[in-house]
Amino acid sequence: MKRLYLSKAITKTYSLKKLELHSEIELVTRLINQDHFAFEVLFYKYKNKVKGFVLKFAPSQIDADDIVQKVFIKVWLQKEKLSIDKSFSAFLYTIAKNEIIDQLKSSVNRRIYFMGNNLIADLNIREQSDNTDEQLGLEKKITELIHQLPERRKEIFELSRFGGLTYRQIAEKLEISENTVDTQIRKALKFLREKLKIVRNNILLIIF
Amino acid sequence: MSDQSLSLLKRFIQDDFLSKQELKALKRGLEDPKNSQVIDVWMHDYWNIAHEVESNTSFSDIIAQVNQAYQTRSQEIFWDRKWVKQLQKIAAILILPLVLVSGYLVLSRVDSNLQYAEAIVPNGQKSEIVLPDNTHIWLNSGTRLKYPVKFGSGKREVFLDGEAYFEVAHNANAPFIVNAKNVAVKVLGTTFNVKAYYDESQVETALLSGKIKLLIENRDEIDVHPGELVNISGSQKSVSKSGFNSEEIVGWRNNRLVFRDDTFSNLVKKIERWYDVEIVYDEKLYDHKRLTVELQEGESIDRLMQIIEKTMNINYHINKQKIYIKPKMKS
Repeated sequence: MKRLYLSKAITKTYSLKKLELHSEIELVTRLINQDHFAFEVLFYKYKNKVKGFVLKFAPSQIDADDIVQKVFIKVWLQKEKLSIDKSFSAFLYTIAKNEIIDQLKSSVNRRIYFMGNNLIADLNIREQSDNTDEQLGLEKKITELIHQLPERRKEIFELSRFGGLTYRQIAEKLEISENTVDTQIRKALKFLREKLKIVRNNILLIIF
Repeated sequence: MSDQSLSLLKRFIQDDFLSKQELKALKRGLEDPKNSQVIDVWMHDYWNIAHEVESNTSFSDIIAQVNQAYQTRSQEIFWDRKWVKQLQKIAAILILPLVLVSGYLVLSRVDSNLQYAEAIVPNGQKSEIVLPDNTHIWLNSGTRLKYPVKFGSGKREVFLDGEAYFEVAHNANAPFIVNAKNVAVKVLGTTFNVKAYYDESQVETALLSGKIKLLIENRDEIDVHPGELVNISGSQKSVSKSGFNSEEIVGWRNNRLVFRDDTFSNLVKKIERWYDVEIVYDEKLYDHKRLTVELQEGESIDRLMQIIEKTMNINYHINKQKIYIKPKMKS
């Protein structure tokens, strides 16, 4: 049976304020005391909210579920910072916010790297142009060309170059073989190189 | 954050094209501590209104990752100690088993409290389970039930998504609690049916014998008496009580599919679960329709669709697991 089903089973486990059922304070107290069950109940109660929050701030190459996972791992690892006087929601927000900002930073870094070193290595572009307009035109053209890739190939290429995932991670995520990932990326690069060669030649023609 | 950086960030999030120059400006903006408060304000506003989006993250994955983190952590602490470094110089190979043992201890500690099991009944099937306390539970199609492998002292607690019929073994010292969506059913020992599918907006509890209490967040508890059906619906959790026809409520246990004045969308959901099919239809056309159908034990989907075809004046065709419903053409 797929594990996927498990998560839904108690998705809507509510804390009940009456009688001996779990109030949020009780859950937080239990969580501070390393209680797994309380952790699980809080997880099901908040995971969908965290996902909705993350989606608002995540560009397409960032996997929202992946962030949700990281957030709750941190909730458990940092539960000592919790206190029953402070709201769990505020604690969760801080962790989620920091995780998103971290991911955004590394995402921006990967883009910069892609526009720099990767252009040289991946696309056989030997040196960066000193001419800002020409450089900007090239960057725009590459982005356009990536958008022209077939949907699946584009997804694999972006996960690799912008998402920073290894071939194996991509293979697992998309449930395909590593070989397929490799082939798709080769095809994407071949396409980009060929199209860019034409663009470069055109630019050269105009200049000279 | 300067307006410019914030607008760069917004464009980045929306997958807009950013030049390398702009990316670098954004990188500086994100790293500048002066900006963190502005980002915080911007994000915090949204936190309070963020709507829920179903996340596929599973709890077991998180536990696995936590265990891994602990292992790495315990190793780090280990390697930092001086005597270990000495030992390492003398005989690095001796340490490995120690690390493995400490990792194992951490692992087993983390797992020891997780004693819940999960019963999952796919669409098109039904199932029966007996809990360690001799409580019998019948599970209808498309239902998941989470229950403890071993009951501790005190309450007996299970979690339900879907529909189940309970015959709870009496134990005055340990109330039996069914958590279903936003409602908890608390019982000592009794027979009742709970219908609380995740994708439906209502929770329906019908009591056949004994006595139960319904606990709803921020509400007074509700006593339910035998022969009563309590329907809690919508986000307002409006409560209505009525009687019920026991065949309609628990007919599913005898493999009989019964609809009584059901809305069309409810009917569709029931059929989809019961026969494990997908029904494709235009919701607008049939929203207002209500239907009463009683099928004999084990009736085929064809028979049911023929009845619906006649009563509702529709055409249907079945293709593999899909059923397409269209209004009947005038001839």
